Parts: sequence; C-alpha cells; structure tokens
Amino acid sequence: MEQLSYEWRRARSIRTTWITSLFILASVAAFAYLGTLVTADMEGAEVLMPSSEVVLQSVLGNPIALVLLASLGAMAFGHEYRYGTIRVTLTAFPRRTGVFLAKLTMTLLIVLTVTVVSAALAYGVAVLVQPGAGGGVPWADVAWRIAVYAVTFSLLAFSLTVLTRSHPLGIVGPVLLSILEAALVALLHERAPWLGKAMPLSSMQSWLAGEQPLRSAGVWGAWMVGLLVLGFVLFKRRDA
Amino acid sequence: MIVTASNLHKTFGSTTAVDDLSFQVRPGQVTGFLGPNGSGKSTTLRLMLGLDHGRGMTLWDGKPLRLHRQAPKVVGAHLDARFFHPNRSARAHLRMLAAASRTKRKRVDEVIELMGLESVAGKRPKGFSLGMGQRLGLACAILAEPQVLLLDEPGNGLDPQSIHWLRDYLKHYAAQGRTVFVSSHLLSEMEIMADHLVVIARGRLLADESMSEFVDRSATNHVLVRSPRAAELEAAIAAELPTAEIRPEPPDGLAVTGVSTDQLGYIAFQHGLPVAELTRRTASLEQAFLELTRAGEDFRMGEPPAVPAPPAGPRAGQPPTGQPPAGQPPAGQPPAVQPPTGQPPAVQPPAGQPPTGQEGA
Repeated sequence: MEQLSYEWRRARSIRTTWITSLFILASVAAFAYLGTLVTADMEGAEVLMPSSEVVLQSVLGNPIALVLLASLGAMAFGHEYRYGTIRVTLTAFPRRTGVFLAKLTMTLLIVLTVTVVSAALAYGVAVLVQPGAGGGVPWADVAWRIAVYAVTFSLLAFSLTVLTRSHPLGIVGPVLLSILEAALVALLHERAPWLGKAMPLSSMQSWLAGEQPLRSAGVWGAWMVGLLVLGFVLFKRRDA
Repeated sequence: MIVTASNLHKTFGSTTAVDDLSFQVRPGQVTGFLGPNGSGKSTTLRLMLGLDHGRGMTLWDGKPLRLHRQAPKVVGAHLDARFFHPNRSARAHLRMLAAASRTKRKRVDEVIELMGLESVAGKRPKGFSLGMGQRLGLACAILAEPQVLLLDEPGNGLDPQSIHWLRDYLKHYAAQGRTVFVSSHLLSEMEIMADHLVVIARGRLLADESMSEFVDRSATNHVLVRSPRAAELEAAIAAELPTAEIRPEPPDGLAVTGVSTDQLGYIAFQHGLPVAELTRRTASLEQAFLELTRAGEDFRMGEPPAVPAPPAGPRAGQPPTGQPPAGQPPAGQPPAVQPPTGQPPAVQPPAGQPPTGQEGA
C-alpha cells in the first residue's frame, strides 16, 4: 500500500501529469467536435455519425492522444531516471519487484481514468453538437477498444522507458514503432505476408477490427507481456 | 543498529571500483568515510543500499535492507543534492517520501522548519542552489527518523554556519544511540565530527579505527624539544633511546619521533641540559589521511606552482579598488542564505552508555 501511495503522490505532485491529462481531454474533445462536422455523404445527403463512432474515432483516430498517452506511460520511470530520483525511490523501497508493480499499476490506473474521462467528454461533445445521432458501435465495444488502445500505447512507452532508461525515447518510441511497423508490413507484404499478423500494433488493429480476435489478442498480449518482462528483468539486474 | 558490510566488490568493465571491502558501522558514534577522489566511496554507499549490484552484502541489524518491513525507518540516505524532480516542490517531495514510511504531515513541517526551508518549501527545486539542495536532501534523510543515517558529502555547498549546524546535528543524532555514516572531503570538519573512521583507497580498506588511533599512526606525530644546547641533547637522546628518530629543527630545536614528552624531559634532566620548550605535536587528520592515501590516489594532481611574491599594491587584507571588503558581497549580489534555523539540542550521550565523542581529536 505504501508503494501505491508513494506512486500516487509522485505522479500527482508534478504538473506534467495534470497538463498531459488535460491535453488528452482537450484533444479528444476537439476530435469529437471535428467528427460531428462530417455531415454529408457523396451525394450531398446529410449524415450524422453515431455518438459511439464519434467517441471511438476521437480516441483511436487521434494521433495527438496517442503521443500523450505514451507520455503518461513513460513518466513512471522516465522522470525517475532523468532526475536521478530512482535512487531515492529504491532506497525507500529496496524490493524492486514491488516498485515495478506499483508503477505499472498506477500508470494503468491513471491512463485508464484519463481515457474514460476523455471518452465521456467526447460523448458529451457529440451529444451537444448533434443530438439524437444514435446507433453505431455498441458501447461495450467502444469501451474495450478504447481501453486496449490506451493500454497498448502507454504500456509500450512504459516498457521502452524501462528498457532504454530514456524518457524522450519512451515517449516517441511507440510513435516510431507504429511508423516502422506500418512501413515494414507494407514493404514486405508479399515476401512475408505473416508479418502483419506477428507485429504488436498490427495485431492490435486486427483485434480491434474483430479479425481473428483470439489469435490477434494472443499476439498482442505476448508482445505486451514480453516487453514488460524484459523491462522488469533489466530493472532488477541493472544498477540504479 | 549495527551496519555490517561484508566483502563488497564492484567492477565497472576492467576497473575494480570496490575491492572486497568489509567494515562495521556502529551506533552511538559518527563514523566518517574517507578516501581520495575515485576511491569508491559513493559506489560503496550505493552497494550498501542495494542500488548498485555487486558481490558481498550489507546487513542492517543482521538483515539485508530488503527484508526490513519499512526501509525508510531503517536508513535515511542522502547521496546527491540534485536527486529531485525540478518541478516538484520541496514540500511535495517530502510528502511523497513521507508516504513511503507512513510519516505524518506534521513531521514534514518539522523537518522543513529544522532545515530552514520554510521560505522555499513551496518552490520548485530547479532554482535551488547546491546548499539548498543539500538541505532538502538532508531533510529527506531524517524525515522518517531512521536508525541509520548514510550521507554522501553532505557538507558540499553548505555555508560555514550550516556546516557547523550539520556537525552538531549529526553528533546529537549519534548520541541518541543511532548510527551515522558520513563521507566527506572536508577533513577539518570530519576531524571535529567523527569518532570513528573508515578509510579506503582504490576500493580497498586502509583503516577502520577510531579517530585518535588513526591520527596517532601518523609519522608526523613527534615531540619538539628546544634547548640552547641542542647538539648535546641530541647526543643524549641518541644514546638513551637508539630507536628514536631525531631531526634538527633550526635554530635550537629537535623533532623526535617515537618518544613521549616524559621520556625527553627525563633525559634532559638526567644530563643537566636546559629545556626551553617541550611540546607534543600531533598530526592533523589531514596529515594522517594524506600520508595513508598518497599511494592510493587514482587521480593525482601535479605539483602546484610556486606562489609568486605579492605585487606592490593595496595593503594586505584590503581588497583592490572596486572590490568590496572581505566578508561582504559585491554590490547587487544577494546576501548569503541563512543557516538552518532549527537548533540541535546539546550533545548528550545515550542513556547508559559512556560518552564516545572525542572533541577535537
């Protein structure tokens, strides 16, 4: 409990956490508003995007939120390594497993809370701007897709920060990874058609799209757990 | 709480930073940790805390630190004056640490006051001077009132008043039966503060003994005897004490090593030789330290250049034109930071224990 309390105080006592969270909310709200502006189809007929679609797109189709979610994920270890406070933390809590788990838990709690609040905000914007646009994706689907998306990018940032001990690399890493992965899959599509199914972000996209959900979720999970375990092992073995 | 470091060993590539180092730090006294630059002091402290991985182990009251339920109550460490998030206020940093040991908020305010940090407690440390950073680091170390204080160069950047305060505080802390282990380059301060010394060079243990034993080992310790008949006295000493080392100190003195003042006085009396002065000259900690570690310096500096004769100009003790007098800041510069306000109580030995402090050893 002390470790979680310490982590909560660590996270909330710096402005960056709050500012990043506010920017996530603002960007999601802005994307939700933009989503409601697409109101005409090819023939000029008015089309209202269902609220659930607006909410989904304002998070999943929002590159700003992606970077900011990665930033929240990178903070847990990034600030500690950047400013040397990891030594203060590990002196107070010499058991590194507990420190790692507390940081992981608190990161996920913060990221999921911010994502849920931002999704609610996006819903509010959608209802306010175009009331009555129902239908679309079931809300349960919206919830788990947004959760998977947020967890993916924050965990990637979290793991990359532990692995590299670099805060900036933790933030840009997931973005670079998504660009690199998209380029690789596109380039090697013919020579290695299986590549798209074996990469973390592609498998996440497949899972969210409902393509071979079990297999995609398995590949995604293996990448997430694998990176976390690698980060944990290095965190345990390295000098602070 | 006794801290036992056993066979600590750490290498960085092909460089051995700490080489099979073993020592004990005992409660009720201030133990100084000395060594030249690059001798492995900071690495040793990190190994003791489990921050660096290497061979050997450190037991805190017979247990590794990770097996203690609340490490902050066992050891409070201050390793660097810059280990803060630059945008987290001093108070928020202390409250965060307080959460690690379930320390009450009242205690946070107490240490802020004790360290004289009230005026900057709400400010972000990115603007702090080195001295303010040291104070905040010390506040963190003592926050949970740990059984052991482990401090790495805590006096760096502190003004003389704050160093004086720190010395009194650490002596008081140790006198309560707690353990204080402090590394420092300020040998004059260490001489006054420490009761026991652990000295290392090139990662190896050179000495683990009381301050007086350490200083007494120095070859600089000798007895000075002055006599108008120094030559006769030298012959008499050589005859009576063949093992004594005698070195003339002009115009009429002899520096004699390996004897006591009593012995020399007796010899002079026996031979009817007049004595103008008979003094025991004890080496300072600095002399003893330099003698012991001379061979173990990894980063030795060249011989200093000869000091040139002072040019004709303002009288000694007066600054050149345009410079403020000594002790006053130049125009436009802020006055020095105030020392910590909390006064440590007078040093008292722990109940039931004899005083172990050794003033001015």
